[in-house]
Order: sequence, then structure tokens, then C-alpha cells
Amino acid sequence: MANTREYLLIWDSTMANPNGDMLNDNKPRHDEVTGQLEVSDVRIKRFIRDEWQATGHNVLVRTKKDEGGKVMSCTSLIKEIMKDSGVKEDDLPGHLLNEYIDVRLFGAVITKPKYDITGPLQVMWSKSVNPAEIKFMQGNSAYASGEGKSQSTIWSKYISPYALFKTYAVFNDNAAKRQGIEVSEEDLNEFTKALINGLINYRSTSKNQMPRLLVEVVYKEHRIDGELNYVDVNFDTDKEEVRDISQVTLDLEKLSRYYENKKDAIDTVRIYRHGSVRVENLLEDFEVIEI
Amino acid sequence: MDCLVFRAKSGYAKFRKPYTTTSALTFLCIHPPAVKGLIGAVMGIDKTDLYKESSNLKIGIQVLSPVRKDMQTLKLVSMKAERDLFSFPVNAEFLRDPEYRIFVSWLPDKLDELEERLNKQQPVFTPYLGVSEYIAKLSYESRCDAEIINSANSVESIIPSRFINIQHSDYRIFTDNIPVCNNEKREYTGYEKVLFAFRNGNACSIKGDLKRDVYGIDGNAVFFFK
Repeated sequence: MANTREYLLIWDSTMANPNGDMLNDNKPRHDEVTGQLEVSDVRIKRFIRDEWQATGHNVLVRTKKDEGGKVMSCTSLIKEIMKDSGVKEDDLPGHLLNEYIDVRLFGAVITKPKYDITGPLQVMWSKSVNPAEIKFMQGNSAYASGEGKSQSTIWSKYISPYALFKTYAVFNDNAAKRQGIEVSEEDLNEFTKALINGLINYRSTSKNQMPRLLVEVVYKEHRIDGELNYVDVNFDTDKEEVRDISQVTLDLEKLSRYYENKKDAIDTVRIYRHGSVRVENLLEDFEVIEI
Repeated sequence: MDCLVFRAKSGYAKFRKPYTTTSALTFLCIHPPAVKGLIGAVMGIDKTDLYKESSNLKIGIQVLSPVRKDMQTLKLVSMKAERDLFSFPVNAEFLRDPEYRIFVSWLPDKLDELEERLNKQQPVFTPYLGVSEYIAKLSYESRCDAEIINSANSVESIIPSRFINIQHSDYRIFTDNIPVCNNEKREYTGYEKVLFAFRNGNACSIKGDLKRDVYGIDGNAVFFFK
């Protein structure tokens, strides 16, 4: 069983809509009082799941079409899995845990047959460190929306010029043990790999992001800080005017202090660092991996 | 009365109202059954045993951060065998930047274990405020012997409105009908209309004649839910 550990990922989104809110004209999710952008846990997990799928892992929570080209429901997807693998209802949870890395780490809720698995790896909602501007944009598309039009369609969308996010996650070995889930170091390596590469590789008109620093604190004995918020983000300009990672310095002084204070309980601190980010107060004891 | 005090905060919280289906609304603040769940997570009590294990818990709740509700849309995956509907948007209400001070009275050995786990940051399960993506940071504050305050005329914790004759003042009063007890099936069985107050964005006391005992803890007058 892999040891309990906590993660803090610092990443940025440039000229993009990191996570739209359909209720609100699909503007980036944000806090109207502070101007901070927000990203839901499931958006982050989607980056990871897509990366896993692209690298040949089995992923349960995905959009799959049936032979008629229609999107399958969860129930029919499960039915198909049972038919293909020949497992009985009683053995289904075990089968899913063995075969699907996203079930092992993030859990699953299955309606027919009814049961749920609590994921030992929880991802928190992310908030941007800076209050980020939200811009309304319009443009011309190439085609008209129908016949007999004199003009092509106008598209419109909301984007944010620059937002720097902190995302916290925790892997809890007790949650795995209690449910008889075996999570290996290898699984968690696949998680960090997919987290970093998933952010890099997922590109679209609305998504453009880059992981800048990932802190992974692996504990010797079970321990959970609850936020691991020990990285200070300092900006060279006003917070509202930041547009690029070159205007940002990440200060690990608090993390170093946390490590010194809790040395007995901490096994390893790994820092995955992107080449273009300035980092201060990096301890020699930390294992540094270049992204 | 042996009593333990800790703080719980997160970037978000959602304490779901059970009578809404897809448009999940949230209560205004954490409620006693949710606190029991939070303590259950720290202690590692299985959810099937929680009702019995926590039956002798007494809980006081102080709301420390101003209430900020918001609503956004989430996409849920359809679980019905519909042919072309894979996900559908639902409105989800949640609280922003919640912070609570929790007062717990329990059996001494249980409190000992709770104190040790909070002190060493060793919750068995990952604590969160309502839903698993709103992970909570818990901070141990103190352990003390709480005593009943004689003729108290103010209260710093949430209190059922029927137990206080409010003296109106310059504070803003928040109120909500929250669940206070549940049964083995994890259904809410009783509700109370509770009050708490803020002045200039800070939590403050509510003044008035109290019709129930409150306990003094670190300068706070606290009402305990049984």
C-alpha cells in the first residue's frame, strides 16, 4: 500500500476559459466578490482521465458511443463491461478496482447494481491566487448558420487573460485499506504523471494551461495537513495585471519550515518544477524533478 | 463538563438540503449531524456504526466566517438508460470560505483520542465539509472543563430561536431551519430554527434572555445540541 500523501499543484491558464459555468453564460467559474477564478475537482480529474485514456489505461468514467452512435449511459456501460469480461454482479467491484485506475483512485458510484466506492484520492476545488479579469470576445466564423444568409455566424465567448491556480489533493491510505483497495506506488506515479502531462496535453479553443510546480509530500506515518498551503506566490506587478509566469516567484519558505517541523513524519518531499518558473527557498533535502 | 474545541475551515462547503433532488441547495451553516460525520471521519468510525457511536455526543457550533452562498452549474452524468442524454446540467448551491468553531462534549476516552488525532493531524479518513471535493482543514484549539453560566444574557454559538428572547441590536442576524438529529438510516428526524449573528463581517454575540443552559468556554457562551 502506498503511503498517505498530499499534493499542491500550481498551474496557470492563459487566454482561456479554464472551467466554464453554464448557468452564467459559460463564463469562467469565479467568485464575484474576490474576482478569483475557480476550477472544479471534476475538471482536474478529466484532464487526468483523458491523459490516462491516451496512454492506454482503462478509464471507467468516460463518454462512450454505442453502435448506433448514441452516447451510452453508465448503466449500459457497466452491462457491457460485465458481458465482455464475464464477471458476475458480486465480483464487479473487485473487477472494476483491478482494471480501472480511475476507480481505484477516485472511486465510483454505480447505480445498477447499486454500490459506491469512496475514492482514497480526493481533489479539492481550485482557486486562482490572483483576481482574474474575464473578457467577452466575439468573432466571425467561416460559415453561415443556414441557407440564404448574407453574413457568416458570429461566435462569442468569455475568456480570462491569465489566472494562476493552486490545486490541493490528498491520498489517504486508510480510506483505501478500509475498503480493501490496493493502491500501489506505481498507481500514484501514474497519477502525478497524468496530472502534469494531462494539463500540458489537453489543448482546445477554451483550454490552455501549464503545470508550473507540483509539491508532493509523502508521509512515513499517516498524517493529513488538510490544505498544504505552504507555497507563497509573489507577483512582480499588481495582482490584476499579471499576464505571464515570468512575472511570478514561488516562495517555498513555509514548506521548508513545515518540513523541518514535521521531519519525523515526512518520508519525502518531491518538487516537480517547470523550467520557466522562479522558485525560492528550495531545500537540499527536497527531491527535484524537472517537468 | 469535559469539552474539546477545534476549528474547521475550507474554501467551500455544501450541507445539502435533503428535500431537493437535482438542484442541490445548502443549509446556511454546518449542522449537528454533519459535525458528527466530521468527527466520525477523524475517528475513523464506519458510517454504519456512526449513529450508535455518536449518540452521546453533545455539539456546539460557532460560525466564524460571514455566510456567502453562491450557485453554479455542474454537469452530472446521467445514470438512466437514456439513449442520447449522457450528461445534464444541474444547479448547485454552495457556501464560500466557511469557517466554524466546534465544541464537543463526549466520553473522556473518546475525547482523548479525538484530541490526539487533531493534535497530530492524524484523521483516519479525510475530513471534508459536506462533499468530498471540499476538503477541510481542522485545527485543534483546546480541551477544558466547561461550566454552566448562571444567568447568561448572551450567546456566541448558534442557538435555536425558541430558546432565546432576542434583544435587537446593530448586528445582522442569520437564521435557517437546520437538522439537529438523525436516525440509523441517516435520515434527518428533527429540525430547529437557529440563529447566529455578525457585526461588520465578524461573528458576534446575540443578546437576550436565554431559556436553556449555556456553557462557558474560553469566554464564549455555548449552546450544546444533544
